[in-house]
Amino acid sequence: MRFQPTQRFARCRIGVAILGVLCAVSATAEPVFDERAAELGLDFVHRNGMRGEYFFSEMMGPGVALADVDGDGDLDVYLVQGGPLASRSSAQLPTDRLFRNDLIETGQLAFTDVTVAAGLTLATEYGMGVAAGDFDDDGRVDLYLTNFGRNQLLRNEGIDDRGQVRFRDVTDEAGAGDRRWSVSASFSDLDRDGRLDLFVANYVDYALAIHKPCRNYTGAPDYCSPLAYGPEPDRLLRNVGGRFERATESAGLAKTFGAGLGVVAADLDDNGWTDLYVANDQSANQMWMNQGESAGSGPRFADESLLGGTGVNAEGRPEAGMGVAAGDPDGDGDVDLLVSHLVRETHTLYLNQGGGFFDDRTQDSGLAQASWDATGFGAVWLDFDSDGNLDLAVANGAVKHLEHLLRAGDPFPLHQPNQLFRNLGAQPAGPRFEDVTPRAGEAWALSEVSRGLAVGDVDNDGDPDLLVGNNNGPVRLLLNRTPRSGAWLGLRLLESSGRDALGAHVRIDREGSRAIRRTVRTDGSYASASDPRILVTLGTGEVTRIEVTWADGTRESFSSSMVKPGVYTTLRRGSGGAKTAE
Amino acid sequence: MTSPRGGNLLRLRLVRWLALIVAAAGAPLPLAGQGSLEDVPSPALRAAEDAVRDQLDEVRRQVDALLLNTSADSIEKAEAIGRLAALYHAYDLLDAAAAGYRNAERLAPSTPRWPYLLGVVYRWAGDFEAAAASLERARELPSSNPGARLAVLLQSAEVALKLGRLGEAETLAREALELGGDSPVSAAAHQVLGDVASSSDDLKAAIRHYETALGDQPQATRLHYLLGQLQRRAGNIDSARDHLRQAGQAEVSFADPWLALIYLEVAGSAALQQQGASVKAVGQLEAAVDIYRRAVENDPESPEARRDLGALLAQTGKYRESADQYRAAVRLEPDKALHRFSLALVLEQLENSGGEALVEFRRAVELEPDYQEFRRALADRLAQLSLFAEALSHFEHLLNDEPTDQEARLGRAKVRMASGDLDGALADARIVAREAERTALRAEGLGLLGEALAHKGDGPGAMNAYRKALELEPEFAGAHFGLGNLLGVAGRYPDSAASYRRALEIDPGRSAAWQGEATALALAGREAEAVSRLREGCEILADPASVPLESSLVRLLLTAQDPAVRDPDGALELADALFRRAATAQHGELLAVSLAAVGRHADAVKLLQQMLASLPAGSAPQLERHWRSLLAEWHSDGP
Repeated sequence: MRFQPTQRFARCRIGVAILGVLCAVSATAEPVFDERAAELGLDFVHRNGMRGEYFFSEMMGPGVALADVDGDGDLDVYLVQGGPLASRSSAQLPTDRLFRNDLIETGQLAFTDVTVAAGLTLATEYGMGVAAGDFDDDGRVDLYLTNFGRNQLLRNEGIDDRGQVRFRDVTDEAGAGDRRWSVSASFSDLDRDGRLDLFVANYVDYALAIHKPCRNYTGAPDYCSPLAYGPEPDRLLRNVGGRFERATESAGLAKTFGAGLGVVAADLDDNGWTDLYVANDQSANQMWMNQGESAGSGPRFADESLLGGTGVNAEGRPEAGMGVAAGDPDGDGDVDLLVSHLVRETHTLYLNQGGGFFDDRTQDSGLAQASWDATGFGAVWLDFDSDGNLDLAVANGAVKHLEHLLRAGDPFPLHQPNQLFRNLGAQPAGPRFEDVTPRAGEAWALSEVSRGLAVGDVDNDGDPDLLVGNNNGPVRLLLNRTPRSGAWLGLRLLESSGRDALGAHVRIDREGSRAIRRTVRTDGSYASASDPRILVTLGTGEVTRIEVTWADGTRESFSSSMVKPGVYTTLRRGSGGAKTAE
Repeated sequence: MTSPRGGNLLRLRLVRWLALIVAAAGAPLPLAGQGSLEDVPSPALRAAEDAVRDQLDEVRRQVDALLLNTSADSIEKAEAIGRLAALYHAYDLLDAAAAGYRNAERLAPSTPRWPYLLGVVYRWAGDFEAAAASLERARELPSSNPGARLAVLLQSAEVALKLGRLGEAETLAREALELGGDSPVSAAAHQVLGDVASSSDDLKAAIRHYETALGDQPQATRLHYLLGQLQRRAGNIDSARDHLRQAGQAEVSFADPWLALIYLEVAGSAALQQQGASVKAVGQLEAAVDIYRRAVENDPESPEARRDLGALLAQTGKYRESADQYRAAVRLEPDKALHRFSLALVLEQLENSGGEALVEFRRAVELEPDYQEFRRALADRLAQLSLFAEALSHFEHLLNDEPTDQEARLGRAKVRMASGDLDGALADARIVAREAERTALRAEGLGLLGEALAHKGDGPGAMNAYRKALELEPEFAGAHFGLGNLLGVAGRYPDSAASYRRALEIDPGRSAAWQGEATALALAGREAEAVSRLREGCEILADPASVPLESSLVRLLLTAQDPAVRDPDGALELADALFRRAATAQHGELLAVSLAAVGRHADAVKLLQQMLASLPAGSAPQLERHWRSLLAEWHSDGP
């Protein structure tokens, strides 16, 4: 990545000589992102198949994934495709696309389309999203495709003789099928048995056969609200050793459901068991608190969203939940939630108060007014300016025609700019955010119908980049070129089998600074999968200790000598020092 | 929002200049360009309903004409522009509405309605600072409408809250409270005061205000959520849960006279449908029905308006009216399978409409043969009507399409069972019991397995299946009933009676379970209890479902071993009533036997002879033989 100091940062560098530490603390680099998808070989345009009927499903995709599917140490790109909606049986169907990242092999960031060689021409369903996780524990990242149609589990078969990663559709043999309309899915170990379970968020009972024409207030045709159709129940697939058993009902997850769009797995009450949070469109969200597992019968969940304060907004109104991001923007060590919503709602920030209780602090955070005009989908936490605070990126795009675009004669009047919010740090009422989109350059001035959003360090330079999936538009890769203000630490946490340790928590102790806590996850956002690696800004303090709490509750310490700032270090379970049971 | 700055200012000047030229040439003056008035954007109406587009064009033309009229005063012009802005507002065209309201305010700066409605538009658009400023201007103007004054105060208070101006919000809410007294505004003001207190972490005060608001408007269930959260924050988890159980989406309501006005002139149906949907979403179904009715009145040829009204009427239990609306939708769009399917579902709720429902189900499947839910509903309906062959073909179709569709497999199993294919039913039931995802479906599969095994004579296997079903679903009445049957056959009468009773606790409408329990009790020697239970069943089940129970009761009263239970007079009374209600052969025989039991042999003989005479010759030889033997018995017993 080229270093190009902004004016403000340049001023700061001059000031360092005079002010020393003060400037280092107060420096807030302006965001700099370059959009380079096409230039780097990500030649992909999503097609939603719209023909004027306003089919509901045509404006809900696509998701995107950043995952190292060939295991070479850099992030490859998986892009979900739509295609025609009507008359699919007689149509030439486009497929999803896999682009190999050639960074490690060539030293240059570039992508090569390996869809055909990887056997992915089978991914021809009308796609919505993608989840990434190694369900068969063989150290290779598998993919689960959520579709408007039959979902597909693609097993990563490893590298073939030609050095190419191959995938095989194992949906039926693994018992992972679902023909309902699914959007987001999450891999996580919910019963702490060392295997990744799969939760699938299903949306509404919609089919072209029951399509209802809907209109806006003037009577012009427009897309329907999800309330026009009944919600579909979500599904839990419990991993029983490389295949899945349906466990939705036995886990208590069938008791309530809405039109599910976003899902994230996280230990929301810090009791050592991974919980599930489902963002529902125009109905109350679910916060499924994992009550543990007894006698091998699988985990049990109870929806505590209303009591926990995350079911509806502070005013008690359900919102149109789309994407969800789990992270720790206030740096207090627990998991907070951000749910993206429709225009005339807000991107809602639920701050964890401990014990599974949350407060809606959107109003105090500065996000309320800044997100009022936006319909958010993908949402991710990222420290784009390396100041140690988690910032927020949201992929926006309306679901109903925007009047000002109609007035301008726009043929696809749903587009909106995405948004980047800088975390200004914790205030008494929680973190405060500033919408820095207008200052974030051309990449953020693009106005498109964005849906999926994944975060990851695509060029392995120690800062988070963004991959945006646009509905009926080109994919965007936003490379972060924001000037760095401190050393970084990158960790890849692996189970002893070699699979990414989704759900593992890491605590990084530093000299003279508060500990940093992060969780390994690929899920969250909207219909997308992100980089599982942990990326943190260290600031000035030396790392003194790293403690990992694996998903089964076992703790393991790693010596600070095992890691080095400025590069990614793999910490494999069992290779650290002292282990303690939870 | 469009604002006359920068390029817009230049455009505005150009427009004004052009307007002057046009006016001089005698052409109509556009809405823009009147003195200090700003450009009102022309919304994109190309795809709008004709009625809406025509209305807006017409009103806009009228406004343009009025603006050119030098004799019209500014108040008159403000009213015209304000009316146009209100229409834009109702159609959710907020940029145009805001510009219109701003113009109306400029023309009539002493009218509070325009800055008020402008404030509402700004609030909807998320510009709370602008909303606060507009509402402040509205507050500063005197108003002769006390209701409107209250609305201004409450909107202002809510916007102040959004801006975090807690003190201002409190002051405004208190002013509204003082002005409104005990009117519905009181609840709204207390809600704002509760919000203020909650934001200030004064939990006690917040709870007090919300409780007061809830006392005023108990239907405002959203307040329960707010109270639940406060109780949680106060550490009162039980109280919090109690409130959250009652939480809903119904809002505190109060009349907002100026805002209500904007919807009065809405043309077309779509805007009303949207408005109805909003009202429906907060649980005000009857109000939503009224709005949907207006939508249909505005455009009777709109299938969407008919469809939405039909759905809501069905939701409120007005099936006949609902069916009428769906029929209209079918008339307008005969090839729309969903209309036909919805109509069929509604018709199923109406008496004597089963035939029409079946026709519509069939038509829906013809129109959309690949949509499984239509086919499933048709198959279920056909099975209920004992049209097994056709039902079977649809279940087969579903299973060919998706072999893991266990609902379809269960349907097929039931049809196979009913049509005598026990082996087929067993095979399907076993698969459902093993593989269905939903517990209830697995239990149902086991229940059917039990029934099929019982028919095959495998009592232990059947009992095992029922017990497994009950392990999965302890409240599965059918399994308790089946178990009662099996236990009765096995001679375990007290256990059998207990199983029947459990079935009846869950589903008291099962006539056969009442009879089964009474029979088991009688066979267990508990005849008095059997009579008592049958009487209870007769009270619970309405006629005609109670008829088999009444017949059983007559028989028991006639045949009881216990003299304290045997009651021929009671039996006669019941049998007489039964026969009067329905003079069937069975009831006639019961009456004759009862007559004989009280010694009225002549009457018994006469009745039975009459019935014998009315039997078509050779139609029921067994029955005839039975009755003749009774006659012979009574002749020999008689005086």
